[in-house]
Amino acid sequence: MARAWVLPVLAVAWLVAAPTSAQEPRSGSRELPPGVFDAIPQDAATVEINLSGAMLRLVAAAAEVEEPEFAALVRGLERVQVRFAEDVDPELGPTLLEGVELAAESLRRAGWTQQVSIREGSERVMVFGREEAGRLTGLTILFVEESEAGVVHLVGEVDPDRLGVLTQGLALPDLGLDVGGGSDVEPDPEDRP
Amino acid sequence: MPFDETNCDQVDERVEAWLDGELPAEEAARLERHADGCPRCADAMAWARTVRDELRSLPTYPAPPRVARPALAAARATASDNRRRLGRLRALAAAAVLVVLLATALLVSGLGREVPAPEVARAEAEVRLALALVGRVQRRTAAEVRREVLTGGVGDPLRAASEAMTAKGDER
Repeated sequence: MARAWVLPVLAVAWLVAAPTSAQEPRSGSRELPPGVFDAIPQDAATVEINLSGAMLRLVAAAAEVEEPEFAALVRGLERVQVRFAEDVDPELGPTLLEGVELAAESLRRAGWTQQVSIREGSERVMVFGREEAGRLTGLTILFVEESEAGVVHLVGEVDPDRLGVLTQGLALPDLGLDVGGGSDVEPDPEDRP
Repeated sequence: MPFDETNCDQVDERVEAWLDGELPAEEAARLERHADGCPRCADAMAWARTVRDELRSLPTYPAPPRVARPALAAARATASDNRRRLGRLRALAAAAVLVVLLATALLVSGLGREVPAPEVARAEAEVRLALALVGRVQRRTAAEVRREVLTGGVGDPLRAASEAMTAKGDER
């Protein structure tokens, strides 16, 4: 009788823990399988970006007045990760190609849908998508070109039409970024870009 | 309790305030109108005025130092406390105004994008870079699809079929 409180406490603990454990596979499914960003060796990367919720909401708020379409797109995003290498040493080409192929394979195994695949000589462009309830909630791009290579990962509501319109006129901005220059929280070692 | 000028007890209660000019003008006028028709209250008011005038006419004497010093010290301490309290209140008010101004400036700079916080500006540039990379891949993909349709596996058979039909037409 003295231990009568144990069962209610366990029941409450289970009720509190249950929603969390139920959500894990769903949110986890949008994340990349480990090692995808390793397609681009870290010492070759010139830009690394890792932005998540809070900072993306600040960016959206800052752009709200002048660029509502851009703000709406950013507001739908939960995470933006990039590893990008410019002026790649030509000797690194085979390593990059192998890395991208391995990353693509692990994405396929994790259930990502391959939407685009361009193989042209030593160049590769692959686009993978993740859908939930008929909506695109994740987009991962792997590319190796003549002197550049990159992995781009967007998590959240990615509206392809809006994305297409907005990215039409975007040229690559010069960020003056240092490697490892993510502005936001430190990523988990497993999904670091 | 609302002033009832027909109630002499209420008039008595207000005579001192009337004498010191502390009654509202409308209430003072009603009290004076009542006194015009009520000898008892007129006497009470006249007596109160006499007492006040008598008190004011009394000679004044300097207070002995043993009484004045502690009284002055207590008064100064009270005044000093009040000044400190007032100073603290002013400092708090100034801090509150500063916080409001800073918050407003941050809000305006955040929403109006005049001077965005460096971290947010940097994050915005990073998002633009990510989207630019996505856009570049989209363009590359579209170009590849166009090339494939127009000149590659889809276009060539169509062109061949069209040429064959044209050749047949010529033969006829």
